Amino acid sequence: MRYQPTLVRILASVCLLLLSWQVTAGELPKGILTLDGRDAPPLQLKNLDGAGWDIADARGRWVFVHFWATWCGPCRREMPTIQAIFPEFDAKELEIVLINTAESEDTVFVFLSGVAPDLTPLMDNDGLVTERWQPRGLPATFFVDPDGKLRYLALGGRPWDTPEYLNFIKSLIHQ
Amino acid sequence: MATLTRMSRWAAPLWLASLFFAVPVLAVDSDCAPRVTASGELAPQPPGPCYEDEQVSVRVVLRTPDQLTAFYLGREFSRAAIGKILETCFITPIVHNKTVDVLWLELDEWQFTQGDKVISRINRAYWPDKWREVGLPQAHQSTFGWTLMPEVRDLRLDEGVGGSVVIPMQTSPFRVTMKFPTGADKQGPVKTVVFEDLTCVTNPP
Repeated sequence: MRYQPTLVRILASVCLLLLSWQVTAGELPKGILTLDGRDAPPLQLKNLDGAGWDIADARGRWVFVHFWATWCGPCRREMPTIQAIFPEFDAKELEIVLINTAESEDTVFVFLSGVAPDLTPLMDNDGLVTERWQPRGLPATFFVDPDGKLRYLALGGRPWDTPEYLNFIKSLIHQ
Repeated sequence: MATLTRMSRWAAPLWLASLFFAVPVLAVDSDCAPRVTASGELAPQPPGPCYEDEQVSVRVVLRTPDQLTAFYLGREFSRAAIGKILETCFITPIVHNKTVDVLWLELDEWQFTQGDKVISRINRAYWPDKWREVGLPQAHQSTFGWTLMPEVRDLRLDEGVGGSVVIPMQTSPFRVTMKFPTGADKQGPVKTVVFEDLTCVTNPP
């Protein structure tokens, strides 16, 4: 029927509007704090494959900046949920960046190859970048907006693959 | 004043009730009561005393020297560095703010005592000299720092925090009085939780 594509477009628009409204109305999922919009600290590290990454090059898209370590129980439980959402997002809209805090490459590789094989973390070898960002413990996830400002902080491990959190992230990139 | 013994009285009835009224009891958002898995088994609980009310839950986990050694060896700490850790007494509280009001963790507001004697807490400033003595790499110093309880934290709704708090090694039981200021500006009533008869645990024989 002819009206179907139009109907689908209208429904999709309504869904996006509702998602955007959820964030702008301040109804955030549990454990998400609004930050003051200050500039994100510098973040320039190499990943497990030795390739460099600089947050300054991520302007124009949201960045999910996630600090973690294998020795932290909540980090281990949360990691599969990050792997699950990884294919949901186009890196031009939202980039998922993992930062391992002060662990060896072997430790990180052994853990991630089992639970999150698609994710390539940045290695904060001496832990100093993590300390500069001042997360409220590990794990922690910052949302950096396309202008490089800190907008939200997720406290501790969150079930990112559940509709509540997935919709929250989608609402950000469709704002 | 809230004490540990009050919590202990509730734990057993809650667990028994869970056997008969699985759905309502499972719905109780409790950190201290034993949890029942979907298969009806009791989920393993962290060891150590636990206090809980409608405002806060605090569990105090006490690690044996063998457990501490295993943890830090697994993080590739040297034996010399672990030796420095084992010279002291680690307790690991896990605090959960259950209210919409801000609950302040301020370790300087916590008091460790043995009778009338005050035990001075070992703070973060103690460690850099120790790590220099044993040549602990910066990466391991960073990891160690993240395993310590933060000195100050404004705990928001449903926010939890855990980590080690360190005191000099004790051979007798001690008490810890934890004071938590409340409210964004700390003008609310101070919440106090007391744990009696804690010990610096040794390895089982």
